[in-house]
Amino acid sequence: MTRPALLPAAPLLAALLLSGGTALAATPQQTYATQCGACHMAYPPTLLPARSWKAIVAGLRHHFGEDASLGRRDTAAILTYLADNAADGPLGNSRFLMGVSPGMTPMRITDMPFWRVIHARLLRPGIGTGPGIRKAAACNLCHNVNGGGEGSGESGG
Amino acid sequence: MKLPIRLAAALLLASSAAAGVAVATPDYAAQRAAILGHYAAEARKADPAFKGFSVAAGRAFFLAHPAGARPATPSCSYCHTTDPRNRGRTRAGKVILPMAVSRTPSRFTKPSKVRLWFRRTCQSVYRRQCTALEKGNYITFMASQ
Repeated sequence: MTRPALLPAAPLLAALLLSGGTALAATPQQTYATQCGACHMAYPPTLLPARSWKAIVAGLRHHFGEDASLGRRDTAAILTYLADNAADGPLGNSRFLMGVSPGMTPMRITDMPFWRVIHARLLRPGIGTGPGIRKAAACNLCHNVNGGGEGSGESGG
Repeated sequence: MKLPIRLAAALLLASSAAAGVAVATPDYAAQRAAILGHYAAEARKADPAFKGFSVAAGRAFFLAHPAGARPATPSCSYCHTTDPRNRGRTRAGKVILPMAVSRTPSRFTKPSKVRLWFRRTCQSVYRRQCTALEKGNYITFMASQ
């Protein structure tokens, strides 16, 4: 069964082409893709409000059980990119805020109401969140998205 | 003139490929030796009797399940598998290229990357910063694989 792609590949491809290699300074989006994408899919920033991204980036030292902290410059660049493209950011899509009150700061995309409605099937015991979270966190297992390819998550020193 | 997107992309690719030819292939062995040299100097500072790094100690460090490890990351080998020539997998499902230098020659050649990952993964698995001796042993083990 074919599922919809979350984001078109064109912008990232264009950014990669225009960068012409690693010699040039990385854009905030590239820094996000490299650093955050080393461990998990670089989730589209529009899937959370900016306040959520701020809280997540502020807590990278204890990030879902691991130390994911970065240097100050990379941290700032990533937060800028995430906030600009967040659901309520200037470049984001506010339809993902459906059912999120201003007082809510969801810390997981899987806590977002839109996600839970669309993925109700995955929320059955043992499949979605909870023990099966690894599958729910890997959007690319079902969706055709950037950063899902084998080896694209190369990480480590 | 409006350049078709595909042509523009091909030109960009070609120009970056040409630029790539002009740059010499990175000398990974020398870069890794420089990083090891740095850790050796640190290890000697900590212990004047330091004789050199050990493959066996690096292997033991990689396979150990330290008592205080964070539950999500009980050992290095939890994500990297017990054979560093294998590809590993992060908890979120991403592939980690092999740590073994024979399989991933660019391993341990970029100081900033080495620093970043030791700082974080030592904190996750060992709940502290690793010593220069431990880091040197680890790299020496991976370079032997």
